[in-house]
Order: sequence, then C-alpha cells, then structure tokens
Amino acid sequence: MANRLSVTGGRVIISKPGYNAEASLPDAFKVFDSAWGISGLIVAKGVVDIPNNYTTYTINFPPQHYVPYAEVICRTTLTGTKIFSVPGYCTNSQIILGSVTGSLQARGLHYWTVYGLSQ
Amino acid sequence: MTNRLRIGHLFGQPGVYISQPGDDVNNPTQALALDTRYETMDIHHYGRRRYNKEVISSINTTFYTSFGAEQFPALGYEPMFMFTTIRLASGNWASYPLGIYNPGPGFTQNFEFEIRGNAIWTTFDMLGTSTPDYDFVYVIFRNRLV
Repeated sequence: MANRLSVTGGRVIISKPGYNAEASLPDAFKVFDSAWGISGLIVAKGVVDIPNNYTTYTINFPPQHYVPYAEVICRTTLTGTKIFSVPGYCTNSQIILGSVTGSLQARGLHYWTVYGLSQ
Repeated sequence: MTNRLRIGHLFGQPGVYISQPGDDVNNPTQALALDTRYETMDIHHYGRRRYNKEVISSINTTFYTSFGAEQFPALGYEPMFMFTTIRLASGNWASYPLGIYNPGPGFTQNFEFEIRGNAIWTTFDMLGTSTPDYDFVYVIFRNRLV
C-alpha cells in the first residue's frame, strides 16, 4: 500500500492512490503539495434565479479573512443556454452584482462560485 | 520560521489547515493553501478544439455559427466547468468571459455552451466581415455545478 501522506521539513505532500508521497513525485501524481501555495478551494457556490432588470443583487457567502475571487455567469432564460458574464464586485462575505441593462442579459439563472484565492 | 500547518481547531472548526508560504496559519492574511472545511476543485476532463474561420460578405451582421460537440466521460450530473476561446490572430488573445461584451468586429459576439450528459455543445455567433480561427479550451471538473 502506498504511503500517501508525507509531513517532513515543514512540507506536506498528499499523493494520489498508488503513489508514495515524497518530494521527488511529479506534481501530476499529487493531490496536494504545500509548496504549491494554492490548491483550488471552493469556498461556496450556488445558483439564483434573478428576475428581469435588477439594479443590484447581493449574494451572501461565509465570511472569509480575506477578499476572495468570485465568478458569476448567467444562463439567460430567453435564449436557452446562452452564457453571459455578469458585472459586479466581491467583498469578504458578499458578491454584489451591478445593474445590467436590457432584459436579455438580466434575467435567468445566475451560477456563482467563490474561490479560495485572495484578490 | 512561520507556522504553516495546523491540525485541529481554526476559525472555530476542526480540520487540517495549511497556509501559504510566509503566512502564519494561526493568523492568516491570505487564502489558505489547504482548508478542509471546503471542497477542492478536481479536474475530470479537459480539451482544446479548433474552430476554423469563415468569411461572408455582410458587414456588422451576426453571420458565423459553428456548432460542435465535445465528448467527455459521463458523470451522471452537471459538473463545474471553465472555458475560454483563444483568437488565433493578433497575439492569440483569450476571450473570457464571453458574450456580454463585443470589443469589435471579428470577436466572439455570443457564445452558447451547454452540457448534455457526456457532451459539451457549443455555438459561436460572430460579428464582422471575417473571422480568424478560434480555439475553444475547456475544463470539466468532478465537482457538481451547484
């Protein structure tokens, strides 16, 4: 059985099944390496159905000790699956979507994701 | 030396926490490198597909549509995804997010993207009199979309 966890010299490595966790292991066979700096965390995600022509719309997520990156895309209900980007900004606990003019872009399912990355 | 590993309580919850290099895990200022309170992004499939250019005679009219399906191993649910287009001209500009902003002729005007079972379906609509070649680049994650 492979040793999948290594904690040595201030470095933590977790390997994929079948591979020993060690510093010489190529990155492709690791689940995590503290030398990477980031690991693709998803702090929160969800979907909201926003009606037509909002001015601002706020999405709350668990407060973080930093301001993370967030992404919001809209699948408008008017044109099937067409995807639009959505303007807005992010704080450490909220995504605030700005005004979108025109009913085509404004309505529909808004998929939002907050990533564990500092801005 | 900075403490970077903590196994136990942090932020009021038990877990494994690893901070970024140079950031104290007991009082972090940056996003953590590992935080077991949250799920991690896990890549399932990725690819790159070429959309060859088309030329038509009308000006400033949506004229270009290319429809294609990319197959990937089915997951049984709608997964998270990321995508972009790379315009194979003028320095190979990437275009993301797509659709709401039209910076000029020849750029992606609208882009339709849908995951149906084990396939990604895409449609481009372009604006202008001619288009360059485009590459569609995508990543499918094992994580559920929502």
